[in-house]
Amino acid sequence: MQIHRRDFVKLSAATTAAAVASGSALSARPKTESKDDIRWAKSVCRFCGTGCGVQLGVSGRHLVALRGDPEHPTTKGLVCAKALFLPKIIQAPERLRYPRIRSRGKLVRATWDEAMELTAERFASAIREHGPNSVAYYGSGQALSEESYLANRLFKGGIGTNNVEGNPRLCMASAVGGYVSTYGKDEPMGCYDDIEHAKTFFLIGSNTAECHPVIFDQIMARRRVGDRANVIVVDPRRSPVGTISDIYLQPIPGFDLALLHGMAQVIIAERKYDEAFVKKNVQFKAVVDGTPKKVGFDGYREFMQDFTPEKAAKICGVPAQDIVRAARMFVQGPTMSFWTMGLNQRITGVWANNLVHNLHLLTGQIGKPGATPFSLTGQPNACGGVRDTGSLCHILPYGRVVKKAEHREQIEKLWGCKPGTIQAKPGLHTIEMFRALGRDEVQAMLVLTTNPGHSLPNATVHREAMGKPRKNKPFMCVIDAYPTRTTELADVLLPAAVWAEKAGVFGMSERRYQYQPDVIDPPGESRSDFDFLLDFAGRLEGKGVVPAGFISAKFKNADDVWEEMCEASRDTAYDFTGMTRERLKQERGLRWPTPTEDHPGTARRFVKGEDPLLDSGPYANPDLKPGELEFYAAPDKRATVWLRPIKPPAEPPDEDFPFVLSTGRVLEHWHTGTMTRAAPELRRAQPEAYVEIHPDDAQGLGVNNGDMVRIVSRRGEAKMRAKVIPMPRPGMVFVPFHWEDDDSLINRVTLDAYDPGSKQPEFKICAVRLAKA
Amino acid sequence: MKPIYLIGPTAAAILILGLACQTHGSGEAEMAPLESDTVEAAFTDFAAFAFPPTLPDDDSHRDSWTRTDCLNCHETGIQDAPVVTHEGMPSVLLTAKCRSCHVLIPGSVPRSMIPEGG
Repeated sequence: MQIHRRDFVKLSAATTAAAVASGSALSARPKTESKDDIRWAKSVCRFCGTGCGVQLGVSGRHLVALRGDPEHPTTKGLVCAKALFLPKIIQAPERLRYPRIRSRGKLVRATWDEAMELTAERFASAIREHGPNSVAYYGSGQALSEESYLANRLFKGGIGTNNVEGNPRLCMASAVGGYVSTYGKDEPMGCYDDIEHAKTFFLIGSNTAECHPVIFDQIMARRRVGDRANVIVVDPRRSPVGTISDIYLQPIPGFDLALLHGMAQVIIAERKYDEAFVKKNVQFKAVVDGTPKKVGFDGYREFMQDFTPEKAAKICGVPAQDIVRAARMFVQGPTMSFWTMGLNQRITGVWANNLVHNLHLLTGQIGKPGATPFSLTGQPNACGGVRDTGSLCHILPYGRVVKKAEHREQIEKLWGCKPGTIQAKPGLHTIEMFRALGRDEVQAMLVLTTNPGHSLPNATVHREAMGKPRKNKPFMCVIDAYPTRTTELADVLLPAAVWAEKAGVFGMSERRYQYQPDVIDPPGESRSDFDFLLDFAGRLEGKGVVPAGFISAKFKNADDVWEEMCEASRDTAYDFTGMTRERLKQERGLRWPTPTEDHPGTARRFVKGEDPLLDSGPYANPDLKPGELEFYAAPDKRATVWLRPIKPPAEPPDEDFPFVLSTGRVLEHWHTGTMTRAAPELRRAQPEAYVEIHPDDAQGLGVNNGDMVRIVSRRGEAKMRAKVIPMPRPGMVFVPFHWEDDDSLINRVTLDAYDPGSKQPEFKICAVRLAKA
Repeated sequence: MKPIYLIGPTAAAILILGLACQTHGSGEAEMAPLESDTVEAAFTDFAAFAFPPTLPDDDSHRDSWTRTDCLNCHETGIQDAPVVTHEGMPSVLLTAKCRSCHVLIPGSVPRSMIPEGG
């Protein structure tokens, strides 16, 4: 799609006329008309997993504007400030432009060839001397799908190590664990269309107003129509989402499992569950002596006696009558749940996810328009790029796992590996990977498009692992577009092309894969991660540590890789073999499954009449009637309601550290802020770190608004201004994690304990003490 | 009479918000321009009004998280607020909260609050 200059001129003329009419001075406007033609290209936002469609205004090879894409089927032209400032962000002067190599403690400019040769040699020598598990890849939900797939293929199939991880481990692993343990396969079954049909929204652990503004805007719109939707919010911190809530519940951090059980208990006690749905589609399981055992509905009902509203209230700190109100509102479906890090970043993250699914399964609020549990994602391509391509240490592409011989064999055959190349044992997950780096067991690491020097919990320890000078210090190659707290630790630093500077596919939260074109040139000598990986693979082949031709003989560009990705999805629950490159270039994304080239994509999985996999292929069931559900990927084709116990956080507050610290985001910045701080408006909007303290706590501490405060944990401390405000619960403080100077680096304070199932760290809860600085 | 800012009718599908409540209005945030905010820089690098104007820092803006909060003043023009119509924009965009796109700059004050000559 292109919109040409005459359209833009019309717009300019109209707006100029309006400006003149209003007496505004817009004298410079005609200069725009004298510029070269501006064409508009469809693309996708670079930030969160909402996947907003955008249009890029391009003059020559220069990006001059961005607007929401009104033709986008689900975001419909909505975007947020972060997207609107992308043209400034991508063309910011702080972009990295040239390769650098560390020499005498400093990063000095080098040629690409020098930097690549050094990187390849350090990896090759580590593999030769210490074996394939002495190297590791740490990737990103911001890399293109083709890039993550290629890196995964190179490391697992070429080098022969499962030490493949990525930052989605920090944000979504518990959601994956929840989906897989409940339905048998990862990824939501619903879609954004469901927002338009929902009667009740259940938002838990999600500051949707700031972290997913476009989703929030769509929910807000549902509050204004005649059939006004209900909104229940659960969050220990009263975030701006409260502005549209009917019920706002603030549980004690880490104890919302009791609240969720309490709601389920009310639903059962008041016989508001969907008996027919449960009978047909659900099984009940508990883990007994480490093994899942079926307990039946009666066993579940008995278990729930410990979670009557009164009992649950004592555990979670939410009044019993509010638990009852929330349960009664939840059943006023269609009900759509959204959650993010508040559930996921916990040592009980998978269990918390399970309990949200339990509510939907009990009530049959699933697989119908407006009824679905939906995990929101924080990165543009954590779903399509990392989860789906299997670019984590325990998985393989499209729902396969390294532990299953059959899955390894399928992928080895597709990749052309010698049988037995892919290891059966999962590699190191993120926290253990960086711990192994600190013990010098991982000898060479590649960090691509992510900033672990800022984003890892208990950051001091992991920063030392990456950068502390020592004998036999592991080698770190970092690829990024901006200077970060990780690039400063690199031994080789390579400048990356980003977003509109390279072409490929992003897969966002609703299973929609979208193509982004390259419309401008990267600055300086920057290259795409894809180009880097091709070059790197070729050099490793040359050094004999990857079979000759394993990558170089098969792929010349991202289109080649896409073809193999489609093939890898064939006959899996993800099947997108009908999603050709040409279709993606023309259409505004497609939702898998898309098994044939004429298939329009799937709004709701597991539903006969909507999910094509129920019509043909290995999951087909001709006996189902339209609208009927079948969880075809789950054991016995039934989803599981799990009986999960209550488990306290890894580090609850105590006498020495009496406050709970929780971290999160603000609307204007994104993650470690390296991009959003590059836009002057966004930087000025949120210029520095702060800690939110409840007024009751502030009074006890003698802290006033604006005072500098030290936040101290058993691991480290940070120092920032106090914002005295009744948003967090009393006894809890909140810090956004975007700022990178030593005082603001809140991850020096956070805890790297992790969920035993998902291995996702508990960013949301650790014990701290506060004092005026 | 308060000025009414319009995006032209051909902007129906467009989310370049600049002119809709653009920065030369009476509610403009008063602050030293950044290098890249200057008109010259904007025309060197970016299309005119490619970026949504920022909000001044006062209680009413800080506490406004729904569109209704904003329109209390910006629809009626009370408190010297510039009247904003976003005319011609797709209706879905008119459901968004204003702060999705318009970020608030701490310390900036509405022009109407600055004494004449100050």
